Amino acid sequence: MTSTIGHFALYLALVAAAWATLASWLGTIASGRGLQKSAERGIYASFAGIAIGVLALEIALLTNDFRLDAVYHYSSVAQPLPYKIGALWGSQAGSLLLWAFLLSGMASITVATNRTKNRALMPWVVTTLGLVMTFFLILVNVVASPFASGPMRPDGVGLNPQLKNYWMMIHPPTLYLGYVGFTIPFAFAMAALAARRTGDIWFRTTRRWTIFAWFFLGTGILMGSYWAYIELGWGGYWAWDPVENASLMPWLTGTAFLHSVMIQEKKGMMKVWNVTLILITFCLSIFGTFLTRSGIISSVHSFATSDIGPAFAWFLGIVFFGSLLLLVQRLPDLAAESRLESVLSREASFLFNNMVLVGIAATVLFLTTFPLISEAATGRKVTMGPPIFNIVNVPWALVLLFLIGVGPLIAWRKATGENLRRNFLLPGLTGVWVFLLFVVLEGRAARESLSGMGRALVSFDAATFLDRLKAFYPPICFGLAGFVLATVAIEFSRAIAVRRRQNGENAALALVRLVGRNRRRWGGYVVHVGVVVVFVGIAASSAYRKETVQLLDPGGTMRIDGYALTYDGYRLEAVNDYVGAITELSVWQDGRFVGRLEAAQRWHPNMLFPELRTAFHDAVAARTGDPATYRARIQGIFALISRLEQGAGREVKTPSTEVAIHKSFSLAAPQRFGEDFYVTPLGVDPISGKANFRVFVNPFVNFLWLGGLVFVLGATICILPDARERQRLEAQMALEDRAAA
Amino acid sequence: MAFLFVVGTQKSDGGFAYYVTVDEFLAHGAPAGHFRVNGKVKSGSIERLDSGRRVAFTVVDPKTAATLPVDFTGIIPDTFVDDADVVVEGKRRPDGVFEATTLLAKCPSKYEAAK
Repeated sequence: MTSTIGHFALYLALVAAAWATLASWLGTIASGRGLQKSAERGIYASFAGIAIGVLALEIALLTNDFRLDAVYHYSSVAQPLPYKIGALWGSQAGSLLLWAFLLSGMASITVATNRTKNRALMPWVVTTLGLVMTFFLILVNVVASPFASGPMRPDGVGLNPQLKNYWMMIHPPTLYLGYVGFTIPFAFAMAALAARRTGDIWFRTTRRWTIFAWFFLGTGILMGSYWAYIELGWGGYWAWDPVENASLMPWLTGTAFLHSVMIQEKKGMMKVWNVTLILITFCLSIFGTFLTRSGIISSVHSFATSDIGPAFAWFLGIVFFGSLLLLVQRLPDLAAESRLESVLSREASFLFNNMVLVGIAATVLFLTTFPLISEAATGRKVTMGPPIFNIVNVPWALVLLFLIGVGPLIAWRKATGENLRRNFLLPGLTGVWVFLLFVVLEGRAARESLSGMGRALVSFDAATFLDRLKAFYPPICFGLAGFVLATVAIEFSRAIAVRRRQNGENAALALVRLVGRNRRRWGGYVVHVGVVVVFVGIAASSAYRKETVQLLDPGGTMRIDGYALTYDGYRLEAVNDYVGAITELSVWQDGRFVGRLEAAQRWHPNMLFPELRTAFHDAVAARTGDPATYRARIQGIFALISRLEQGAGREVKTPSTEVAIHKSFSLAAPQRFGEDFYVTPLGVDPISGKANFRVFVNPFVNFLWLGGLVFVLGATICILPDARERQRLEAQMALEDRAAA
Repeated sequence: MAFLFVVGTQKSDGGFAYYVTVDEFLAHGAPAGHFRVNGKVKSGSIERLDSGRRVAFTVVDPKTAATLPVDFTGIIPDTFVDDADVVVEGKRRPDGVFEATTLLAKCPSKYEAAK
């Protein structure tokens, strides 16, 4: 019943979205506001329909309606409640529905907040938003319906164990908020072109939407990395996997966009570039959704392979070429109002920053789609692994880090020697000092790399030269980080000093008022600090990471990089839908006891075997009773599993691993601040307890997550409403409306 | 960037590999060089060795049923189960076994054809 309602609601939502698109487009031609009003109501109606659809699917998930494929495949009776809710975005159809839901929600907010503003743009904005909504609604109605059903089944397959993690609850929706959010500035860009209002209103009025999308995409990427880090047990957080790349690309171009619009706002330059950037960012967002969902490029993440590929390809093609055509038609409107005067200027540094960001995004796109490109060109699929991504991107990332320090402080138009000296002498010295410090700390390794570089240079061997240069990347990164942090620190301290002198405020009050007066600028600095800290975390944890694996009996000890790990013992457990061995560990760091850890290896038995199901329930029932019985029953399950496996000729269990991490934040060992001691147990024997332990030492890795928090703080400051900014924008809007009239 | 790309691809450990199916891999005779072979884990072929550090299994081409024995030592993902889609990256040993240095696995829809 509910699913019939949901199905029908989605159908109505499609009709409403299609009507909104058509009516709004007609509204740009016809006079009067009737059609436009009706179109905007269509957006609301479509949102309501999709919301009912989402609700119906959630009800189906919560009531175990296994007739629905989207419920059967991704949920089960025993699935804990949060994962039943989260199973909505486990399925492809459900995740497309979520896309449509978020988009229609954002479109409704846009329509509501622009009731009395931007009236010249809104008809085209609604047309664009309606078109994108219609596309996604066609997908969920025709190609991949979340309400596709089969016969009633007693129990569901359940969510992939790896997805049963609380990050599963927030990571995909966060990422989707980012992907979807870029639709709003894109729609305004198209509206600006169509309505020939190519001033700076379109991006200023959507500035907070852009930051919103960019913020959620960035946070989503970091959450995904963290999830991979704690869940996958390989001690890393980024593998240049196609799906990771898919989310990184629009974030990079979105970052470029956020910066280059400032140049248009201040100098009236880069107008074509800005429209192009938001177009590319939107297309990459759609492409990202497509890549994640289509399985066109093999990825460990694509949890689905399906038939939505052609639909996406068509849509992407139409959007890209349609928008490009519109852009080309409007080129005369987009002439720059001033010219670049010097490469030593803020304009130029922003231009470089844009080139590097877009360059990295283009490289990632090229390498990610290389299998497709090479197949088309030579008939053979060639894939690119992480090393090549790093070789190409790391040097540019370092250039970017340098530009983060330069951009905000260099003068507009043309920097004078005085400006450079005043802003960059001290930070420059700081950077060089930090760099040299780390080179000295590296000692012999650095000298060897240097001499290797010298030899490679003499023999013109670029590959070897680069390989040797790699050893210097971390010190360079730390040096640049020192440079950027010093520039930011100087900016803050100078501005605070001025306020203290002029207004007699104390330092804390001065800081708060300062940030409050220009949130975008000072929030931006905080974001920069966050990004720098993230860079440091990445550089150190990838360059200095240590790894070992060793077989231990209970009572045994292993050593790595100043750490000692003792395997105290293990317990067996039968909970939820798995049996597991929890290993109990003690960790010593540089001779100092730092804590106990528990890492587990779990096996999810195939409950479709009745004897296994019975044995499992017996074990769970014994949990509160005699420990020896409990243990014996679990050991019995392991024995039963191997017997069944011999009979069935296949595995009747799926593994999942729970890593244990000791995080060092103690000031007693400052050189280990932010370091992780990361343990994964492998193949724990349920009888003897003998197990392999794979251990990673990841220095500074927590800087990545701490930097992420700083990024969140900075972006939050940027996105808070700014009354002065709003007044300026309203004045500008009034001016433009008068000019048009 | 193009420069770095060209320089990077000249190096043997640049991480690029021919992406082939099991069938294509075998059709090339005994190919030298780095390959990524895509297939499915043959049901019942998984032998977990060395207390979870090593695994021997057979990859099967879902279309032609061609098979390739694989030996992998390293981090075995939790998604590595019977019938999982896998990509193994590495080289063929003289004895015909594919020695993998990387194992990527994508879970099949769990247990649907369990019995």
